[in-house]
This record gives sequence, structure tokens and C-alpha cells, in this order.
Amino acid sequence: MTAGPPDEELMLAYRAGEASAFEALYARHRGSVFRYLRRQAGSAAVAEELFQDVWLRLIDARGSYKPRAKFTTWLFTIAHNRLMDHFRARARAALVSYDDDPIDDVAADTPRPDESLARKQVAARLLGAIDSLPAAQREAFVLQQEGELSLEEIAAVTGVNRETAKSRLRYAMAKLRAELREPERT
Amino acid sequence: MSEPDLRDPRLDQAYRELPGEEPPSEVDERIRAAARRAVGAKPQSLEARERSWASRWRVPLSLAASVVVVVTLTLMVQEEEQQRALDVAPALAPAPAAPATLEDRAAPSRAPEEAKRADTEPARRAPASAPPQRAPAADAAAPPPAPQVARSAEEWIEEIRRLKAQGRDADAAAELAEFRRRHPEYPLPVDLAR
Repeated sequence: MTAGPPDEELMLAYRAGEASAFEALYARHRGSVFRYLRRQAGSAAVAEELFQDVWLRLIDARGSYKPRAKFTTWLFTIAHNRLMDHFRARARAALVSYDDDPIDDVAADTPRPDESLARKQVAARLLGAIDSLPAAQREAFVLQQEGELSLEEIAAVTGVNRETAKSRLRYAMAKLRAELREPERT
Repeated sequence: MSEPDLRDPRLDQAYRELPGEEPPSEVDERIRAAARRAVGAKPQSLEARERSWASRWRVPLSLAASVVVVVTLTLMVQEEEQQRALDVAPALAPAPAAPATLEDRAAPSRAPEEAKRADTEPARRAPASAPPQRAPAADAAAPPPAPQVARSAEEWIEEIRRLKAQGRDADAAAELAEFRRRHPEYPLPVDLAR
């Protein structure tokens, strides 16, 4: 549980002109938003660019902020939308298959990051497994982990219905569990 | 999340152990600067940011505490004064400077009237402590019905009633005025209250 005022209260205070309220919000969520973008964007440089844009969009939107939903739902929706803008602009082939086919195995086309496997045991394998997930499944999983979002909130952020979000998350978890169970490849 | 199979503690733990990547500090500073510019705020050190939150509440809380202290002290003083006023009647000491006796207020013009009543009004109380400045005529007039020695508030009220019953309205009024001065908080009976 985060100490201090709730996120929504801080955002309202920032909307009212309290700069220190933004500082508190930023400190709380900078890490999770960055890691979400890092997992999705594929490169640190792109993640940094998208990360800055997300917060600038939030700053620009402060005047119209209303606490209709959880602040993190709103924040990660901004991040998701910025990500989608990036993919549309970059026309990344991997993201064209932003689908829900549970059989789809993008990992077969995407080389496993060996340097990750070399660094740590389970953590490295997990990182690689996450990177290998289909983008939609990966996003659902990372939103759960980094944003601590519920199924309904994941659905709201990604613009799908609850069952679709549930399906994506379930398949992501199944693949990651399987990866953790497998003996380490040499 | 209401679906238990959508949460795996082992997976959660493994994820938490991943390298905690963070944005670079220069990105942090650019974003913070933009946030400050947007609301027209100046850069603050971390200590200043922490002080800002604390100082916002320090003054209002201090004012509230001061108000509580002042109100409490005021009430305490008022209670003491009331208690003192009630206690002073039975222990009323002669007040040399107090022109409270009837003689002091008895105007020379009333002296003849007092003289008429001199025989009928017994001198109940010894005017031994009466100040020498009392007019001799007053001494010769009707005995003072309300000397200040060892007289309770209730006795004084009764004395005033007797004066009124005797038709000595001026004397009664003078006594009543003195009574009110000495016992400002004493609740006057209906027949004497105005």
C-alpha cells in the first residue's frame, strides 16, 4: 500500500497547480510505466522516447482530468495509446499480429536474447519468455505486473472486452509458467 | 482480479526479481521541468518539496491550537471570577474606601427624612468601621440598614426588600446599586431585577 495521499488526489492537486503533487505521482509510477514501455517497445531508446511522451501527454491533459477511474488505469491508457501510435508509425511487423490466437508463437520467429539467459537463471529465462510473447499477451501480463491492474482495468486500457483480456492474460501466464518449468537450455 | 487462476505467486515473484529498469535521470529531469513549467512553478530541491507539504498545514494547525488555548484560558478566568464573586459575600471585609454605606450616599437633603426614621430603625449593625468622613448628620439619621461587615448576599437582598417595603425607595435603590457592584454575577430576584 502506497503511503501518502491517493493518486487521484495528487493528480487533482497538480491540476490545481501544485507542482509537488506531480513530483509525488511521478516518483510513484515512473518505474512501472518505463518498464511497461520497455517490455513492449523492444529497445531502451524507444522506450525512453515513448516514456517522455507519455508524461508530457499527462501534463497537457491535466486540465481535463477527472477521477472517473483509477489513476493508474488512466496513466496506462495514455501509455498504451502512445505505444499504439508508435507501432502504427513504425509499422512494426511483429505488432501487426497483435492478435489473440493462442496457437500463435511469435517466439519461433524472434531470436531468444541469449545475453539475457546468460545473466541470471530464472529471471533471465523469464525475461526472454516475456519478450517472446505475442504483443497483446505480453501487454496484458505486463499491465498486471507493473500496473497492478485488474482484469477489467486491463480490458479498459487495451480497449477490449473482459473476456479478450482474460484470454490474453491466461495464455501469457501459461507460456511463462511453462518456460519456468523447463530445464535450463545449454 | 477475481480470477484466482490469473494470479501465480511464483510467476509474480520471478517477475519482481527481474532487473528493475528505470528511466535515465536526464529524462526524469526533463519531465519534471515540463511539469513545473506547466503550472508556473520554480524548481525545488527535495527538501523544499518535503517542507512545502509540511508547511502548508503548519500554520493552520498552529492557529487552531492558539485559539483552543485562548478560549480555554478565558473560560477558566471567567469561572474563577464567578467563583470569587460568590465567595466574597460571606467573607466580605470592610472596605475602607468603599462608599457603600447608606450614610455615605445619604444626601444632606435626605437627612431630615432619615431623622424621622431614626427611632424606628434599629441599628442592627455596628458601624464601627465606618470611615470618619461620614457626615455627622448621617450618623444621626436612621441607622444604616446595610453595613458591609459579615453580611451575606442573601441577607443584603432581604435588607433591600425591607427598605422597599418601608417605602424607602431611594435607600433601596442605592443599596441595590451597591449590591450589584459587589455581586455582579448574583442572580437578582424577580422583584428586585429590572
